[in-house]
Amino acid sequence: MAKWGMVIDLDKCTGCQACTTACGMENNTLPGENWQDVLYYTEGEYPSAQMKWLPRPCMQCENPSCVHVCPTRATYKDMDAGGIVFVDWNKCIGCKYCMIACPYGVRFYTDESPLLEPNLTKVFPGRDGQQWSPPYQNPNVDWRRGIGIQPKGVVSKCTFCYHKVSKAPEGVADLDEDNPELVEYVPACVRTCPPKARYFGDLDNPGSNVNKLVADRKGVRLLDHTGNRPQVYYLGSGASIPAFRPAPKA
Amino acid sequence: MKAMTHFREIEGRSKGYYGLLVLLLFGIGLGLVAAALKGTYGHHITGMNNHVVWGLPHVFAIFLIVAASGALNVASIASVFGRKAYKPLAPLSGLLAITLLVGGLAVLVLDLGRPDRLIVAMTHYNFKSIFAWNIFLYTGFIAIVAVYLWFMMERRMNPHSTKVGYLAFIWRLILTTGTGSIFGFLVAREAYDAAILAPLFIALSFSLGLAVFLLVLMAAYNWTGRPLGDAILRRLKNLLGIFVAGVLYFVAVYHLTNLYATRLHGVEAFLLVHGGIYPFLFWFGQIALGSVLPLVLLFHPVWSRCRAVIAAACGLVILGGLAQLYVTIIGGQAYPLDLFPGHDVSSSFFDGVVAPYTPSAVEWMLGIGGVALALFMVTVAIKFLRFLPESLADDKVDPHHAAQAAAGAEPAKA
Repeated sequence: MAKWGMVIDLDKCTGCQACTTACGMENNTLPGENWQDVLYYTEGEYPSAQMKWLPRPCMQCENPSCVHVCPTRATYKDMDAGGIVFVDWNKCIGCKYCMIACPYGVRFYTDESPLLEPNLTKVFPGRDGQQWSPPYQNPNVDWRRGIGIQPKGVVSKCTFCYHKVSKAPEGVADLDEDNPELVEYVPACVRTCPPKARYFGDLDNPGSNVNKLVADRKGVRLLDHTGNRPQVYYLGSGASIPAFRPAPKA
Repeated sequence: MKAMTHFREIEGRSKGYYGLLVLLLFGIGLGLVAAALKGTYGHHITGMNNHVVWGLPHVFAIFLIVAASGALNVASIASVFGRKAYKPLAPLSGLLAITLLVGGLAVLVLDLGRPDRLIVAMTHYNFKSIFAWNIFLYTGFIAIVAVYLWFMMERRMNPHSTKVGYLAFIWRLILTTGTGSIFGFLVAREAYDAAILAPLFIALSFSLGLAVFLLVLMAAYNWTGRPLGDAILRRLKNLLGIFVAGVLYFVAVYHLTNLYATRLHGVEAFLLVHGGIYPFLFWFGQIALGSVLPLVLLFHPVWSRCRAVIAAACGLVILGGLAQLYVTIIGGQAYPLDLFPGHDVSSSFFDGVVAPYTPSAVEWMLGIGGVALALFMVTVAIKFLRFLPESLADDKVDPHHAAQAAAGAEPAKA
């Protein structure tokens, strides 16, 4: 079984948020429930200050804090599903311990205050236990894996678009949006990225492009010191993650 | 000579008693209404958001759970540490331990996103989660203390009460360690992630539990007109002072340790200096009003003889404890995740900024409901069961006191 991983080239990323929008459309998330987001940060000081950015999906950690703290095993890491971390919406009791335990801040509680007006949960009231029912709904629903429109009182998160990825042919090394045979299985954020800054493939396959990129370009993981060991890697000499860069000399 | 203690139910027929019951029922009603509103409209009617996910109800819940553990101290002093003078107080101590815990758990459960799925929490365990362990620790604590109470109150079981007392004492230490570890095990949040939170919570449980116990004891004896001697009160208030000082010590060590680590200077500055409500609650609520002032009141040679002053000190300790838990629980979440140390971060999801939080009326109602539930159970229990001694006069509690008084000597100090 593959171990799905994502590689994000920060030298290519323009911070356009197309990935964020595509994710919201694909997964019918509410405004503010950004399973995928772009973080902006400043580096340096005036007059040479620079704005940098970093896309942040769920890291699908190899050693996930959220899974360790979940009292009911509603959050679990499925090694038979590419090592993706899921939330079983049938088991989640809404204690939100996972949200506090996640060092990356990529978990969402759907009952919170709406960020935008009008409140879409009122415009499109939820049916069948859903938090809301927009006109277009992704037909793929699997509450055991947290796929579909979020029900009330539970926690949601990025699934690496498992409803697409899971249909990919067995043994494929990379899910490349340029390959017409595989494009339908590519996660929404990867497929929509205009500068093709994202790569998605099997981290356990030595021949996969993602593995080569991580090895050749010294891919790094966010907050690796926490021991969570994300399955998302970042590349880029000019825009690498500050936490992994030597501090400037005084 | 062995002093005999006679336990008796309170009469509980006065207008004051029924008035208290009505007041507490009103408080419980507030909690139930709050739970119904949250269940109907969702958490967005609270002040909580995707950054501060545990709000005021958790402050109340943790307060009650920690105080429950500490309330059992008085019984432990008698059975584990062999101080016979405290033995008459042991049943009330056990009763408070159970009722406070039930009140706290009620708030905790009703604050869940899906309280209707409590059965899931009871049937699916993840033993890596301290939350799952706490389910066993809390329910086990209630069961053990119930047996402990039975052994204490049933004459033929009395000889075994010491053994159960030991078990309850060890269990409560583990329980509070578990509660502190909910936060201490969290690497993601800079304000948590500290092993010292477990002993800090144990010390906090000692002071909060005893403060609640003292207030309930004084109120019960005052309102029922039963004698409550100065000797036992003096011992308990001195003990409370020591516990408050103990909490201060752990709080100082916690912050000084954090201040020694450069990477934690940001969160410490936030909690202690420029974090808005949090430094105010820390310095004014927790330290000044909740620790220093009670210490002065409890150990002042003249003021500490006045019962109203002791009661005020207990109240301040409780308020200080609530402030402390507010700073720890909510302040720890409000401070942003440090994804890029040394850099200012922003996003469309409020990364890099201090998360706003203002508790809503619904959250207050739920928290008050938990407190009211705990006190309601105590009020009813002491009417129908023999939890309170008829007299806690000095000569009844401490046989040596009567002998010393007869000899014209001062009563022994704690």
